[in-house]
Amino acid sequence: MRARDVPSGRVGGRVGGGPAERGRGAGAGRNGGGGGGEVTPSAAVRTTSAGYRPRRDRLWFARTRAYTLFVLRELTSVFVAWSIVFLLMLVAAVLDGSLAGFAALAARPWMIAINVVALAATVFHAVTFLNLAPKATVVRLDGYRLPAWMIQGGNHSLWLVVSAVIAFFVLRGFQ
Amino acid sequence: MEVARYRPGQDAEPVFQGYDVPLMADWAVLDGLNHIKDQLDGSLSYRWSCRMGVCGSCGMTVNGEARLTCGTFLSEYGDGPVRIEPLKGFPVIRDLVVDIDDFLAKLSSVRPWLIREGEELPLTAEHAQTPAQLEAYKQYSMCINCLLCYSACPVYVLDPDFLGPAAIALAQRYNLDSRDMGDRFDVLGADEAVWGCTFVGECTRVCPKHVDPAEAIQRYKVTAALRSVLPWSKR
Repeated sequence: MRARDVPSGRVGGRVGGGPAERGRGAGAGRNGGGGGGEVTPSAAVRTTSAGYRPRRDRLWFARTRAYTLFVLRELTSVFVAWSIVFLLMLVAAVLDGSLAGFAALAARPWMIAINVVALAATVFHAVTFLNLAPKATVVRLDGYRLPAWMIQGGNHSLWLVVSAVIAFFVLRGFQ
Repeated sequence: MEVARYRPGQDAEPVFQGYDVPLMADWAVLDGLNHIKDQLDGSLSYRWSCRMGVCGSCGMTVNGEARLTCGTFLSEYGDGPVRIEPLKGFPVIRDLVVDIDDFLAKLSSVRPWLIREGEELPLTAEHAQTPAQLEAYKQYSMCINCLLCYSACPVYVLDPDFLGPAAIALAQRYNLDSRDMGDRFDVLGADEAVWGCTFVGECTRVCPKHVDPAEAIQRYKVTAALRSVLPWSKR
């Protein structure tokens, strides 16, 4: 494609000229963005309005299923953090030579219950994280953009391989 | 149809008003509103223009979800009622009309146009672009500024300082354009820009043009992170 261009400033090309440059009319009272002025951070350009602004909804996360699932996914971060803390406690116990005491703590029923929940939450967090990776990663091979499922499949495969290698060495240590 | 009414000076807050609208198989929600306006209550205020999902003017909240009313059919909701409210996250000027000045100011801040530097070519000059170069940004150029993504974004609704999905997607549209030479890191790399996004993903789900603003934001997060450790890396 050849696109006619302008050396500087705004361009209204066929594809380049999106609505952002067009201006809004049709009786809607909308005006186009643009207007090459000074660039300022978003907060600084926030405008105030005399219009009615509803009160903040404190239960916004319960209004739709998508919001609720999002909040639940975010909450699993707490268990991911706990898993890291637990791992650091294990490392500290190994270095201090107090592994027996740590093992006794880890064997308590309430600790097992916490860690079972933490494992499930961490796996859920990891799976959703890896599934979202294609949104941030665009891989092109010879101009062809890899579909999301390929990136997700690669992520999960690599995850399984790394987990298997770690499991091999950890389980071998117990023998 | 249950339509939110807000008349400044008359209503302290929006109230719902019911209207009986014929259920026609080929009527969009916008047709129902036009029926109310033309036949039942001429005082109802709302925006619309093209009726074909191009102008982006008729975005409203339909039964709790941000939708283009010209592309949403009454038959989707059975016998009703269909509840129509203004887009969430924006101040209401009157009835279903919201104030979008905040968005327009944010859109300007990302400089949504091609930036060229260091050359004074004639206006007739052309810049060749391959199909692959076009494909790199074409998806983001489809944005019609309907603001459904802002309305569906809980981050923007809770924190109006957030730069928001459409502004960032349109910034990426130019960042990824081979003809653009601008640097928008100062705006996009701010806390209230891409880093304000918690990746709910609703912006992408409600987008009627399949722009995928969530992807644009996450991609620029990678760019911004690389910029932090590799200062010479721009794109």
